Amino acid sequence: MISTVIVSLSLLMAIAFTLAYLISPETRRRIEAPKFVFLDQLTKYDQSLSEGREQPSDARRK
Amino acid sequence: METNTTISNPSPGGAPEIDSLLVRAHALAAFATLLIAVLFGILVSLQFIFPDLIGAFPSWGRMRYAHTQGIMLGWLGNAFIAFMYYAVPVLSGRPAGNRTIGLILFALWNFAVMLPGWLLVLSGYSQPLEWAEFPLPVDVVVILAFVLAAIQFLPPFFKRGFENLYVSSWYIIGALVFTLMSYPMGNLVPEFVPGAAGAAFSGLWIHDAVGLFVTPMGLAILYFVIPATTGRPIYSHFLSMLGFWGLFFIYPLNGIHHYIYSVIPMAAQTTAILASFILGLVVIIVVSNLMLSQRGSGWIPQNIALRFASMSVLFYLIVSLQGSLQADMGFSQTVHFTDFIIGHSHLAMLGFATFAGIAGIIHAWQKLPDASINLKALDWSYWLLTIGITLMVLDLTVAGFVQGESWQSAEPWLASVRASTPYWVVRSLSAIPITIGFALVLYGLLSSAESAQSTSNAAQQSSNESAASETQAAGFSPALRMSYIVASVAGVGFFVFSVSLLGVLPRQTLSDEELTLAPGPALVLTPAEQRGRDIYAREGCSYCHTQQVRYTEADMQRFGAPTLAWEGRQDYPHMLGTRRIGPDLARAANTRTKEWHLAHLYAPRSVVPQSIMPAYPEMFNGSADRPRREAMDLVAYLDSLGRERDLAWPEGDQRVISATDDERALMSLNAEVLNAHPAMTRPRGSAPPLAANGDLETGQRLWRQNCRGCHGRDGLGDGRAAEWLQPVPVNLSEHRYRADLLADILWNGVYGSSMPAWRDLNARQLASLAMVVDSFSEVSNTSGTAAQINLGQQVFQTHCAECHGDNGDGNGFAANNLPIPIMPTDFTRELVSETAIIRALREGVAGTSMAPWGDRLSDVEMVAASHYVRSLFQAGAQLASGGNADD
Repeated sequence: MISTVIVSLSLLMAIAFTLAYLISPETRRRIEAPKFVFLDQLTKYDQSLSEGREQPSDARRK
Repeated sequence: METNTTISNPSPGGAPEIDSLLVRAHALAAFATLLIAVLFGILVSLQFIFPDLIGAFPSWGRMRYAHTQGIMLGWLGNAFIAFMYYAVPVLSGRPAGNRTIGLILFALWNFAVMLPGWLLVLSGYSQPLEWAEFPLPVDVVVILAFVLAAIQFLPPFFKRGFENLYVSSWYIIGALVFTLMSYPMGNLVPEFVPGAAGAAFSGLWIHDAVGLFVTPMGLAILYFVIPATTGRPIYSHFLSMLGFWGLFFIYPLNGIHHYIYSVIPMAAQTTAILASFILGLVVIIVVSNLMLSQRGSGWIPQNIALRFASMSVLFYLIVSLQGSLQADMGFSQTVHFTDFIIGHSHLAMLGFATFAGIAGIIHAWQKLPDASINLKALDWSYWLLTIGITLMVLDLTVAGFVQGESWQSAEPWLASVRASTPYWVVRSLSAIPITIGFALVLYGLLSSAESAQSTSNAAQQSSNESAASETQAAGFSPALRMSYIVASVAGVGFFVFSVSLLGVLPRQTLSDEELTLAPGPALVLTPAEQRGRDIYAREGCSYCHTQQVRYTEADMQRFGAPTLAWEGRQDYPHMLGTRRIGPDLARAANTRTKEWHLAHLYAPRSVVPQSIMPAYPEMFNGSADRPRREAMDLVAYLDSLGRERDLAWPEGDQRVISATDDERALMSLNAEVLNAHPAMTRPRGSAPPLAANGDLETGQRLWRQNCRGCHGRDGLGDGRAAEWLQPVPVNLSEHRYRADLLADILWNGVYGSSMPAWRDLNARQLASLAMVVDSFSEVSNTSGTAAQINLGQQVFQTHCAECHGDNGDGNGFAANNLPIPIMPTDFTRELVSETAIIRALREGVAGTSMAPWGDRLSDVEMVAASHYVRSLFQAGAQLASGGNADD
């Protein structure tokens, strides 16, 4: 009984999420967006690190 | 203060600065604790091969406690925190907490958790619960440290908002939130909920420790390092989120699969089994996504951090599929409690999580200002660790199958120990590349062969602009925001649901079963027994000896009726155990004498020549017959195990069966032996006849393995343990047994003495052993004159017949009421040498009810009596003789 509930709930949620992803291009784009945002953030950090390295370390800390 | 400005001011590029001091501090602490924890592991593993190696160190169990907690909290805890100090600012665009809290967290984690935790468990203050071994005061500090970690790392995400939050962020948030919920549950609740009900909570924690702390942090690192090093986004954020929610929803429901076939209600077990299989599907989604995210990097990526991450993904796939497989009931029957599980846990913690941890640290380290790494050292470390861990896991996996097969068959327990020894040697050898590998990682981070940036930024250079442009367009829809909120609430709800379903409800069911079946009020342990229990817990005995007879045929045959819920109603915390190196002790009471236990604790191999149990000489004053209170208390506790069941109902009582209709309870109540251990020593009685196909060579091998410790190499009763046992082991050169009596003794043992029953040997083995026993006998048939025999008969009838019986068959009217319940000698089936009889008459037999008669009988009478009792011997079927057992 409870096992059936668990399986049903899990499948239901997974199917709903998947359908939303497959049917709506907008949803798909929004769900995938974070992976690009993350790369941007990484780039930003690396750039700031490179710029920081070009300055004396004392200046960076102030 | 400079320290605070370091982490609070954004750097010129607009990204928050990383607190490199805290990254470095936790990374170095991680490797320091890792190497110490590995050292504990090596010492523990060596003791499997050289059981007496580590006399000067704390006991095996204490080091095992230190090993597991060192790996989980010391190594992985520090590694994850180090990574978060780098990752959280990048992921959130905001600094991670502040330096002051960071320093307090560092101090707490290493000097208020790890250091005192280790010192306490090594000193004997511990909690006998898997993955929760540090004692309660340390647990409180751990919880406080997790609160501080949450204060450090969660607010940046909350301030940032959940728009476009990357999957690593979700995993970090999930790990911190869920660990804060599950750690107190797993570490505190079993202290207050006894027996199997407490074990249900332990099971939840065992799995949550891995599933809600280690795995999310490991996956956070993998999802971070892979795109960061390849310069490409992960394959699918959709799949990553599907995996994330699947993992947090399903993982908490897995815990009870550590107690399959236990008394924990079957509904909870099947739920855990089902959840385990669903989790396997979720893991396949996660791993597919991670592997696809590495496309183009090759099987062995160039980037060293990515290489560790890549191997971690592979380990994750294998270990997760193992986990799902282990939950299968059929498979569990074979591998549960074996080294298969140890291999599985090493693959999880040293394979998947450690490789992820190393990947995270290397990547973060490379990003620190002025960082440099030694790529060659890291390259070597990768190969050494990969080879070492693969070797260890493969070895333990095979060992697990060997042990499981041995246990499924009816062969003696020690057969599995003997069969495991080569695998344990390989396991210890695998520690060499692993240890060198870990040391090389540390060396690779601290030595400066080349600039870290030259290796780490290559991927970043290719950061795609198209991705950035897509990012700009991606807002956060209200529907998506709502779905994340709903999922977050549901995730927490599912955790509460899992605790209710697999913890609270089973407790209710078990309480009901207790009320139905418990025979009466609980027998309270005596103070000595309680002290003994504390020692049992302190020394980690439950790491090798379970206290649960499972509902399987193999367990029932070997250990007796499966454990019912009420049997653990006083166990705070439970001692069910999850591993068997030695046999189960749920029914240990009355299976061995006190003297045997003491000899076994003082010098285990004296009574069990092939035992690998650690010795505890510190509990004695230099000899097994001079025990300190600790040894006596521990033996008292061992003798209490199963006592309550032993006294519950008369053996074979059918009335109790009508009290329940529960299928599994009936399985226990219908067991062949209702209460006692099936191998328990029994009074003399029926025994199957010796087989005709014994062979001396087999017998001699069995003698060396089982009998030599007490009876000595040549059967002279002069084995190492002989001086500690009462009555002393028989000098077999002075005795000759008729085959049926020998069969009886070997099958039933000698009730009341330290001579155990050998019912785990098969008929051919018993016959072989009997041949060796017979071969030791030097007793002749010569007897005295008729006058001597007449006199002897008078003496015998006057003084001996009340115990030994009128016919000398050992069944005199007083035989069943002797103060020491060892049956008198049956002279009709046992021919004793004249010397031995006269010695017994003159001095008595210590440890039995045979009193000395030297002050009441003259020498002539004693000689006459000896001739008379020898004349009673009725030779029956003869055994073939053999030679020396060491021939």
